[in-house]
Amino acid sequence: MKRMYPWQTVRGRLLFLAIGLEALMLTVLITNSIRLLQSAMSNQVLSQAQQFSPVLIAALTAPLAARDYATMQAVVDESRIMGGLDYIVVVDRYGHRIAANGWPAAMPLPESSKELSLFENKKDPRYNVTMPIEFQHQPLGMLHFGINLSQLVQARKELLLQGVGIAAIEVVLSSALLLLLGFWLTRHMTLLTKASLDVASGNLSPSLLPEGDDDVGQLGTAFNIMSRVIKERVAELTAAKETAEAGETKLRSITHSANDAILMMDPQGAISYWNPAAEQILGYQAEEALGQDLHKLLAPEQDRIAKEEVFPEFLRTGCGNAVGKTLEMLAKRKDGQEITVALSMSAVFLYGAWHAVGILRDITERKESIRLLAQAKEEADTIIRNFLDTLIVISTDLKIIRVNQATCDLLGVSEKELIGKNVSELFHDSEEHVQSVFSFYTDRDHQQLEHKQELRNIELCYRNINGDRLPMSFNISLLLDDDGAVTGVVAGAKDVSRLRLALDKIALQKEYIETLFDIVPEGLLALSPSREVMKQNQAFKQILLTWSKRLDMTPEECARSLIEKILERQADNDTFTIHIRRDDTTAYFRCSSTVLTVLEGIASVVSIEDITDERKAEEERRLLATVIEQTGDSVIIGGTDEVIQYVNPAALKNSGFSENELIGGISHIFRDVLLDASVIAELRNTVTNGLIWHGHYKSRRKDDSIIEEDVTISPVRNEEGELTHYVAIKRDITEMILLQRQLLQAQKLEAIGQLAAGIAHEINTPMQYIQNNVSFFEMAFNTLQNLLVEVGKTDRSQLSAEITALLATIELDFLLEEIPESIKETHDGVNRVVKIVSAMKQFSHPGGNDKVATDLNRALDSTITVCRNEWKYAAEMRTDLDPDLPLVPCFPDQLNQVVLNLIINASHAIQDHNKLVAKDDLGRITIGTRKDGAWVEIQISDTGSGIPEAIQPRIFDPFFTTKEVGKGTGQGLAIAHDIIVNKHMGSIKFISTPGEGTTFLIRLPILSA
Amino acid sequence: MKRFHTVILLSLLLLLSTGLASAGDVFVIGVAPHTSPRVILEMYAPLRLHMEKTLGMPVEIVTAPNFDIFAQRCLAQEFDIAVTTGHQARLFQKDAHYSPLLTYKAEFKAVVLVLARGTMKEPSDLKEKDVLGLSPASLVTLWGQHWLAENKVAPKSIKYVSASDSVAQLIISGEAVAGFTSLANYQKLAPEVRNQLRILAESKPLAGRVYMLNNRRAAIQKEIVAALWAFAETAEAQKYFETNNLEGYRMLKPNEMEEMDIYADETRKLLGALK
Repeated sequence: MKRMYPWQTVRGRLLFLAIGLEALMLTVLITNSIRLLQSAMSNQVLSQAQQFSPVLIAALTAPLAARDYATMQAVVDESRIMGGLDYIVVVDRYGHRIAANGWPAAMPLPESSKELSLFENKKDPRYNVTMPIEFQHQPLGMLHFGINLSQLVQARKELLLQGVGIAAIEVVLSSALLLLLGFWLTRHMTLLTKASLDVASGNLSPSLLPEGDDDVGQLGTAFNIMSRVIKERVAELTAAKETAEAGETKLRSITHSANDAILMMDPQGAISYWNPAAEQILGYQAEEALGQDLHKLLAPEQDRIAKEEVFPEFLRTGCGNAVGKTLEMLAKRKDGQEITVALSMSAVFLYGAWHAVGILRDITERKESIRLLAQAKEEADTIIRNFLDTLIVISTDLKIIRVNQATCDLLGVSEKELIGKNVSELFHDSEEHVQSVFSFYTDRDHQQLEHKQELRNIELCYRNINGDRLPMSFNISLLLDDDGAVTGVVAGAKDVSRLRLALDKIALQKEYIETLFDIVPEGLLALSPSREVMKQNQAFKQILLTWSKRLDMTPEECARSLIEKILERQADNDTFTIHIRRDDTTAYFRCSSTVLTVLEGIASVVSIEDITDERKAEEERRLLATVIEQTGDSVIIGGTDEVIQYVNPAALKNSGFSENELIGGISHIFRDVLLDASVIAELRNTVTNGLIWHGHYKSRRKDDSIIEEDVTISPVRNEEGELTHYVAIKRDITEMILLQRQLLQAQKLEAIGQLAAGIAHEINTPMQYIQNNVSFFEMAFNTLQNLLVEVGKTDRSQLSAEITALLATIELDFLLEEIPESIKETHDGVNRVVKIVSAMKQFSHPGGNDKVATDLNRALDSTITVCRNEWKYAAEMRTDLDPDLPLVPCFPDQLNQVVLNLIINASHAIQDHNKLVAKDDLGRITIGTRKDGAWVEIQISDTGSGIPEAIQPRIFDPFFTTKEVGKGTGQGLAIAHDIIVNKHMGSIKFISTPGEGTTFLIRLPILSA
Repeated sequence: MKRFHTVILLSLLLLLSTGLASAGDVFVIGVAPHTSPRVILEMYAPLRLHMEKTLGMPVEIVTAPNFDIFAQRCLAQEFDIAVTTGHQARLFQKDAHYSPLLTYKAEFKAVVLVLARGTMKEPSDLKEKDVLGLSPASLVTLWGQHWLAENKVAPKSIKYVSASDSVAQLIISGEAVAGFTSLANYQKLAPEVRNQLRILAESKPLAGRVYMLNNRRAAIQKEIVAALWAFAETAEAQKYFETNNLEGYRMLKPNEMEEMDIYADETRKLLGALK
């Protein structure tokens, strides 16, 4: 035994392995710790950078946008104070440093760090960040800052040093421990190795090993026993081997010389012997076959089941179906070919079990020859029997020796009747001609005989049992024996009568189709499988003529364009549309392609229809439909039964109904009872007479509001002149009517204003005289009155007779009492006239286009005065006007109209209430004004009948009125609402208690909107 | 001969300045700081993108920390287009040769705000009281000061704050009895804030924000005006007009700029005082 180095011993290797493993694990542990530390530190630094960046950018965006450099520097300075950053620099979009801290101005700015340099021994480790500052994708500048990494680098260095130190100590301690353990465990290993080497080298009596009770001592005991047993067994085997080798040599010389394959199968079914003949017949070499399962190697798949069934019996008894017999069976060669073999099998009892010995001979070629002969005969019989055409076999003396069933069926005679007949009897043709045909091989000059030994397509006429002529086409071949001598002929024939008829029919159909092709109104184009034009009809030519003129091109160019487009699209669809355009002219064609299968492949016929006019009509219809869909006027189409069939979107919007509610409904849905029966009758009469009705009427919307519409209803007739539909086109003119009426009212007021101004001028001048004269009369009378009083007191005797007589005729006391009263009344009357004229003038003063600052109290006074006649018989008027009311910007004429309407309504409401409760007492109308913040409020209250709750939501609707016909138009409050809300940006509301009265509140802004 | 040399020198300077403008290759739109810089950048971002695409050069939106600095920068020719209120626009037109291009359709009015339920009913009620204005050079503040003068009211003090929101909040908190702001900014206040205030007085329509073109870009004025009108047709512009109640662009009316003379003169004095 050679001396071993420590690394060659088990304990040395174990020691090295354990120490190596531990060192590896410690290295991995330290490396991983460093890696994790680096990763955590990197993440921390990146996180720090990610936290700093948005905060700094957010803080710097606004001052950058405002170029507020002081704020920017302040942000930079404050951010640097927070610590952790070596420097912060802000650069504007032009590259100018506009704020910096911690970085010298003269030093160029560092590049942005690609990665963290924690392990580089730099003096000042730092992570440089450069971030663009932008807002709303507008670049504002760049932010540069550096994160100080020195603390992180120091921490990593300390961790590495401590980790390596601890690992070194652990490796030393582990080595000592493992060394001691290895010595104790392998203390007998050297002796055991030496003893084993002795046995291996042939010394079957090695030195005995120390034995003991522990597992290493038991190993020594076991080795001693094993070496003793090996020694005994080797002696036995040596004797048996010598005997067996002699018998085997003898048997091998016999089997190697045999021509048949000799095989032997052991009880496990494996091949145990394989002679050279077996190698030749079955293709496997002995080394390939030995040990293989015999059945799996040689037996075809279908024969293996038999082996499974009989083999157990053979193993038990040595008997079986094949034992002691010669059987024909299939065997599979190595190359997969199945061969037929004759197998003789016998059983041999060896080593306490049955073995099978087989002798096998290849008989494949013999079997194949017999099978082919039988098959050839069967095939010939089948062909003749089943041949669909007639077939006759004729001997060299022209006698029929065989016919098939088709011949019998065609001629109407049995095979038996035909056999032995002379062949010429079967034909209408002359005997000579028939004989010359069927003995053509005797004619040495016959060219076909020399080359083909057959005749083809020879036409002869069979005669059937009824004597009919049956045209047939014959192919005739010679029958030759093994020496090449003619033994007869075989004649096959086909009935060609139907073929002839079919050809005639095809010719007729072709003529018909060609005629049809030319007379159809659509253009037709026949294309070959190679997509070439085979044929075109007259209509197609006409299309080319028409459009070549319109498109200013030759018919050939037109055809080329058309066919190119057809070929481009044909692959896509069966039916498709193409167009040809030149300048502003476009021709449209609808094409339909039909595929035909012909001998050369897939051909097609394309029909071409000129749809240019149809396309134009469709575009016009679509344009019209778009106009109807987009118009703001309502368009409603109904049938003669007045059932609505179509409504456009404007009709839905204007009416408030949905499409489902209108379609299928009666057109009365809009008119309801709003339209007078006579107008409906006139409308119906007009349109049913085929005339167009035009007019205005009121329609009710779905929400019950009423709109005024300008309506045109036109009848629609079909081509036969029958009335089929009505089309109603309606335009909402509510707003226009309101505006017209407001304009009319304004014009009236303007006229009245002009008139009033004239009247005021005409009246005021004489009234001035009257006032002056009355004042003069009053003053003069006061002077005269003293005189007259003194005269009345004077004794009559002291007066002249004339004066006494005059005093007797007048009632001086009465006059002195009544004249001052009359003068006072005259003053009052004149003042009232002046006031009324002034009020009329102010009320009807025409307004301008701009608001004017207006004294509302004065305007209300004027209106109350002007319409006094309207209310004085129904109510007393009270006013509560705020004397400090500021001037309000407004249109005074329109505001007067609103107040006038409300006063008149109030008067009517009081009259209605009085009628209802049957009393004649005067009601009360109260008009007040007040300032409320930036608003002025006008209140008009009455003690009338009030507004029923049911109609309160609708009183501002146009055309809504509860007054009797002729008294109200239903537009007073609608106009008032429009004037206050839309023109003055104010509000108008009301509070009403039925039976007690109504208060209208008008609020106007003091500042003009 | 001396005159000839002067002409040559001026021509060279003009060529140099034109060259510099082209070499800079950035079109600067300065927007008066009527709100925060972030809001201004966001508000004018669609215009910037459109002008970049149309003019084929980078366009930059900038503003300033306050109206005074904005005016100084504008006078220092820092902007290619200045978007600012009428009185500053008039000042730039007269003193820095900027040309007015267009303005917004929406009317610009200055208003005097007081507490809705307060005791300030008449202008005279503001006597010896604290009043708030935006920047001293802002149009609403200048108008407010004129309004006070017209009504012969001398307030105790006029304090200047940065934003309309601040004016509203300070009036509500009682730190001042009245404040000047624009009608549009008043209408943009949150309803709960606006409802606590009312308008004591409002100005007639004033020239609002006007787009002023620097004379150095006069050569491409036609293209710039066309670009602005084209911008007004875009969906982004419509959204911008709608969001900010600007209603779109319009041409300036005759004498509209001249009416700002009184406020422009005041602004000039203020700026002079700052120097």
